[in-house]
Amino acid sequence: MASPAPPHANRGTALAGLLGRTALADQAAFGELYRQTSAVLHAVALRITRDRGTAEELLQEAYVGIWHHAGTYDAAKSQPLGTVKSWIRRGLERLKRCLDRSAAA
Amino acid sequence: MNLSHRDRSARLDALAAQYALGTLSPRARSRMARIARTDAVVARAIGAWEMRLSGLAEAIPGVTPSPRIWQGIRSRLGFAEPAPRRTPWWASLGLWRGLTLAGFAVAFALVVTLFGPRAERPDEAIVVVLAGPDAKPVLVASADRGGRYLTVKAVAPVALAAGRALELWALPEGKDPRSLGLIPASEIGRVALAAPAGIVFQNIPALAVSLEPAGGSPTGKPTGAVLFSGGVQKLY
Repeated sequence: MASPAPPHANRGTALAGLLGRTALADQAAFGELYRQTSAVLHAVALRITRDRGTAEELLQEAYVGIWHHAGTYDAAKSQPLGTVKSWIRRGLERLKRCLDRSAAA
Repeated sequence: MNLSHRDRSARLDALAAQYALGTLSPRARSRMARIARTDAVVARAIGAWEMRLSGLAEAIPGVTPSPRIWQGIRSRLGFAEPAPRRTPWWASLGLWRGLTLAGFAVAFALVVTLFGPRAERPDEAIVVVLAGPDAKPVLVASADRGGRYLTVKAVAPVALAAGRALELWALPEGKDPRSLGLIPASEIGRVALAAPAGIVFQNIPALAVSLEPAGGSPTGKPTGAVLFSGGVQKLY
């Protein structure tokens, strides 16, 4: 009997599905994506920026970016969304881009 | 620069997270990799983040962001406001208008007839005649003002499908219904009250009965349709 997939892999697949629907402008799927991922991204952002206000702004920027670029997060890219790690990496890439932009301003 | 130990740990933690995530610039990344080769503290910090992100360690506990963040996102993206919830039956005006009360005299007579002289003193009673949409009485609930239970009597047949129950709700004005418990299955039964009836029904203008799964509503609010309702009559 094949061993069941580890929970985080299943979750990664579910996230990939929500991201796919977000790319098709499904607001409910985007809301569910936010609901499932924002707390972890927020926690990581807090650890990285060590400032609540900045973390909140970045989180907002990140998700606005995720909405606009959800269509680019697909198999064509090098990072398939198969694990929670790759999701966090994607989210944090957006955060970092926002951080760089605001630092340059 | 004189950073406290805690500041230095926090700073290392932040850098290690970015390293593990791959978001450091190439130069910063190779510099940190070099330091990690000889500095066990740095190597450990990076290792801990690698573990977290690969799901092998406990993910860091999420910190729920303030709801205004999501509101801000919605508003920046121009999402429409979510559709308002459909008005639940207990908030609709029709229910209140339809509660043509049995009338003081009728209620008085009902208490005496149905519950007899041994039961509550009629002039200290609370009576609720619960009727269906056709206004024909189906259940009569009464309590002594100082009593701790409601007596419920069926005055018309009540057909109840298997796996279903009738739940009694107090309807305070302008607020959500509050459950008083399940209507006993027998023709006449009692519903225990949390306090003397005069206090429980102090600000309750009406009661209603809804159809719920056996065991009652799983949510604490009515999940099924209202079958009967009636105004609370105080005979004092």
